[in-house]
Amino acid sequence: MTLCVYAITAAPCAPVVSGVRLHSVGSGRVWATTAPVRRPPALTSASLRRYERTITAIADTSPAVLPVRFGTLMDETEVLAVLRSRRTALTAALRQVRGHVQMTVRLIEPPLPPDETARAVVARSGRAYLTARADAVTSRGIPGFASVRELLGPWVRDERVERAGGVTSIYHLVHRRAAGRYRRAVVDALDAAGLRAVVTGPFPPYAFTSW
Amino acid sequence: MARTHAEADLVLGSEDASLLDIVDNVLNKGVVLTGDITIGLANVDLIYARLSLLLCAADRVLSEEAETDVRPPARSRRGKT
Repeated sequence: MTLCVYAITAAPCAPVVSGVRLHSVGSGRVWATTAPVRRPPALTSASLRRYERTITAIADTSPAVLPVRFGTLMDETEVLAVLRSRRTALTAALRQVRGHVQMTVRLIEPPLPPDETARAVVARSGRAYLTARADAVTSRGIPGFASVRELLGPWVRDERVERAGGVTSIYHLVHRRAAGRYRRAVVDALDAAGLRAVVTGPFPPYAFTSW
Repeated sequence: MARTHAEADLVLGSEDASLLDIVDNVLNKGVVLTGDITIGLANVDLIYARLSLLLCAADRVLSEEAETDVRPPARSRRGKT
């Protein structure tokens, strides 16, 4: 039987979603929440919305959840084999996200001043080059965001940054109970920094999983 | 730069911002496309193959280690006899 794998959890988790009871496969502290399917899910907005509702329902039931890639299909034997082979990494990842949610900040990066642009092109030294490369994948490399990031420090457990088409998406892993305070703090800080952004969440930790 | 900001405005100003979040979240790590192939002869199924294709931006999948250019070891010369 082909199973669609929705998420990894630390304990059996099989909520009912849209009248369908999900199934939990696994053992010990690593489980996969699945549902039998006859065909791969279509890549449509309706299908994505259903998938998102399912992940949210799982996250509402389980304190530690790792969303799985859309469209991951396996039979039960394969699921168990993957869970066994990745047990250590999955256990660590579940520990990292336990009790936490994802908050997303999307902002339009202001253009760099001309002299900063020129400095950004020329690496002053090897250390400067490596530092610039490292900053590019964190919020430290976002012009004007440093003050915001510093204010959010107490609430952010982990961070991911994606840049595309002039929009920077910053994903923060925040404790579930602190999501409201985080939102108020980030909105105030963004206003103070004069940055244009949209804050959404809380979501399950989509950006902090690797399967 | 002006054109990039105009495109960014379209993204952030989208009326259906919830769909943007859904697409961004659910497809954050790409999508797996799965297909089954059964090869048979004379109405007899002989070979079954399940093909899974991962579509994803490379930087969200490949680790730093995987991107390192590792040179293969130099070949040793064999003595001619």
